[in-house]
Amino acid sequence: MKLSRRTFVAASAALVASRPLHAKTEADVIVIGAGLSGLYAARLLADEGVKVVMVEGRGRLGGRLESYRHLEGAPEAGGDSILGGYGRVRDLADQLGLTVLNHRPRGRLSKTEIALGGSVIPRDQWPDHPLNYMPTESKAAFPGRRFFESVVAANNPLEAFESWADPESKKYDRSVHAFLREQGWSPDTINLNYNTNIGRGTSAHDCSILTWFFRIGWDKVQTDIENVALKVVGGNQTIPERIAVELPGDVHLNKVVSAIHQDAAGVNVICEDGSTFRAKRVINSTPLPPLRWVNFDPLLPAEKAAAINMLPSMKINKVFLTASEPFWDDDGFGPGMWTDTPMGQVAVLRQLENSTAVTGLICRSRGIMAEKLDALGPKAAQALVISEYEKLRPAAKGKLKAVGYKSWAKDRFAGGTWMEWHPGQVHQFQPHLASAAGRIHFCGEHTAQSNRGMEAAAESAERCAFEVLDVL
Amino acid sequence: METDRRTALKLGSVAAAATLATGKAKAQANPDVIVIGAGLSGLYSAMLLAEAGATVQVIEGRDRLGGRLFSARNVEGNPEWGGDSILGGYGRMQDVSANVGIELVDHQSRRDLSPEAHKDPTNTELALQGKLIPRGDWPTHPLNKMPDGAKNRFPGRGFFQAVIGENNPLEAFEDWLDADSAQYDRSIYEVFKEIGWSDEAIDLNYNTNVQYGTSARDISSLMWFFTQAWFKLQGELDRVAFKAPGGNQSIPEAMAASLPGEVHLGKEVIGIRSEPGQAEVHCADGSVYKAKRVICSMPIPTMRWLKFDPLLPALKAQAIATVPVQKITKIILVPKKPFWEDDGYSPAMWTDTDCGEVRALREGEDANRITCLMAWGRGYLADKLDSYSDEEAMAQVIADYERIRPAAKGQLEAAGIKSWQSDPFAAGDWAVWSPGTVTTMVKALIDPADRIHFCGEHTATSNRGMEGAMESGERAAFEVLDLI
Repeated sequence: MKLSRRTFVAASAALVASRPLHAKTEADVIVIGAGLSGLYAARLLADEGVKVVMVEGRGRLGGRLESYRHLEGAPEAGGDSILGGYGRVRDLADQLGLTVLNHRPRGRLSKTEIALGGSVIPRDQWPDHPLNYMPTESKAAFPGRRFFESVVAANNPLEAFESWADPESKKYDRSVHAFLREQGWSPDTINLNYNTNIGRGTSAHDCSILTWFFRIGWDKVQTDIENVALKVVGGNQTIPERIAVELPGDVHLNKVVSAIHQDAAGVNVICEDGSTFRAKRVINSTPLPPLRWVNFDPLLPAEKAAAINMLPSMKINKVFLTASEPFWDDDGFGPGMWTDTPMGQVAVLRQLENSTAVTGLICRSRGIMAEKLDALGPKAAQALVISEYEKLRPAAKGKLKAVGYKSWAKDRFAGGTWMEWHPGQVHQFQPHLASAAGRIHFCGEHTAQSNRGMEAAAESAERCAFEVLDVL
Repeated sequence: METDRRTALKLGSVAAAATLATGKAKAQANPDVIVIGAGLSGLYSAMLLAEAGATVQVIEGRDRLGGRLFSARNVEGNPEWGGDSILGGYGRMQDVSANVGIELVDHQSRRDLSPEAHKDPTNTELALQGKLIPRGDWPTHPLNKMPDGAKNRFPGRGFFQAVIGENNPLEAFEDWLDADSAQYDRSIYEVFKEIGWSDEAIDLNYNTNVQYGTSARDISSLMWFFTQAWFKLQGELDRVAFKAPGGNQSIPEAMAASLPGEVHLGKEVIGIRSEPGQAEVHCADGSVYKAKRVICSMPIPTMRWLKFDPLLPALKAQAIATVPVQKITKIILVPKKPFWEDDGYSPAMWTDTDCGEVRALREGEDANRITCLMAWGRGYLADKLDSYSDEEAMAQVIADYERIRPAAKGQLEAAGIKSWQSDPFAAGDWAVWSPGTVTTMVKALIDPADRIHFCGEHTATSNRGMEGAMESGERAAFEVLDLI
């Protein structure tokens, strides 16, 4: 990536001389957070001639788009796939001249093994296996998220997924557990299909089924538009980086915001290093957990503050592995596995543009298993994941190496991946997430109405940019 | 020790195979009871069972005894990373300590001491938005958001507990679990609003250096009505704050030594299976323990990682999956010189910065000398400190302290950090009751399931802290004695 001279100067100045800047920088708008939503909002404002200054806590751009470029094919530690209906993100990638590659067919090249209770269960033994707690009519189905989602889809009461936040949907804002019990699932069936490698939340008890009704309706639209899972060649992080290059204003890296103080004429954004930025308006794209550490004066409105404090974030840890040789040829099982261990779900990476060769394995550990890895710390977590893999697959012994690790919950600029909803929280807090507080406006995927993931970030940026343009 | 086919399938054939190689318990007969966890509650239940003639095997995941009693023995006076003070009403703690030959020392007078410059009973300076606010300036300070009539009060725990005390509807704190009390199982935020506090007053007094929960919204007022009255009783019984010489961890160590058998350390439990006639406890190293009954004293978050066969009853599983625990990260700072004599302020500070609440400890032979400072990060601040590396977190806390107190520049050395969340055998500190959970989840956590009985402070009904652990160990021991 090439930084434009202005961006580069601002970034390196912050890196080299992070001494307090007591002189206030004046701008029309300060955008906090150089992830997809913040940068896209800045781009839209700059296009309208607004003077924008960006501040970012990290030493890099991209937020929850983070490509591990030290690994072959730059696999994603964060946002992974650009789906068919991601109109804004696909358009952006186009505008920025980026090449995308559809990974969906590659994902289907190897089958995933089921590993429960300490062993790989050959597929032909699964239907009659004692650990098979699938409902009677679905004994042969693969357990987990896809099966769970098929049941939700068949019983989705929302006619249009966008109606999830409407008052009439409030009756569905209850736990996944309650919903699944009504479908006749036993606690064992729920434990197997929902709690293992959990898609959202930490258990079926603490996730609202309404969010799934929304998500599954939305997912279907994505594939109906075009059944693709696109990635930017060179890594998805290239999108925010390119937006930053094209921005006329400065992007200040390593600026950790500690306080936001409003007065009658403007807003001061105060950073940990003592520097202060001032503008007429602020766009804050910070995810919820780090927002809890910011001192707001005056305080944010009570319901908004409660939403920021109480909405949970999804916990996902990723361990990247490489194999010194294709040990899976020796034991005849696929290298990808769906397990009930802290290793979680192992997927096969095929990241190269011009080849479908296996470039590595990625272990995704979610919910309580991510908490376990976090309690152990990065080093012990990676060692545990390798030992769990080797226990299940003796053929892998000594052939795996951990080459990358990411805990989103322990990333202090994220505090988790996407925002989650406990049962009952959707209608209590949803209206307060996107609302402005005085001169502070909010974007980020947690403030989106009609999308999830990267497209939600982009949607929220658009809404926020127009909101600010109206009042400048 | 052999494993049958079903167990191998459910809990891991590798584990079963590894069992053959170990076999510490192989030669001897199965005990009556396996106690999981060598903290206070587990050890006390084991002592009571052994006294009653039952055979007991205690297993512990860590390589040390004591659980959430953990003394910083590398620091002068052994300050506590975990359970700190044995209060007046801690009858079981005082009794058991005496029985295992530990002479407790009362530290209350040391806690009451102030540096010469300050005679205020809280011994603590106030620092908000990164600046120290001299006490004389506080009543009229722009950041003073105390409720009307309380402008001259020090914010935080002491103040809001007094207010809760004045508004406590429970006649006896033990009533908190009665059906009539369910009406109070709502957020403490609602209570504060009803008595006329502003959101700013709640934010200052409750959410800053939060003691239970992460904010006033996510904590049950019923839990506070119980806890406040219980705390008050402690002081009324006898105004003491006992500590064990050598650190409180000496107590569980002496308790373990008093047991007839040896505690097996390094036994991380991964699953518990109940079947007719016996229960099995499976460990990560492949060993399997069998007994008639199991007492599980593991903290709530660590139980989420266990495989239970059969699954625990629905409500119990829900309680374990959802009841939160307090987040606490502590940092010990050792002063090179008494820098507070230079600026005339107390070294103890109550702040809204990354150093959280800083207490001045006097743990040495000279009861008047401050031996170290302990910075407490709780709730969201603990989350923040946990997102740094240990070195970064300690540096950050020192930097924030020095920013408020230039006289401390270069005078503080970090002696260690303890994040209870980052401890895989605790994964947090005490259980926290969010609104609505007291009435629905406390009993569910206590109830036995098949052959498994549960203890630990999260299952106590009449006490908190160390005494809560002891109470629960006693209850679990009697529960099991009735059945074996």
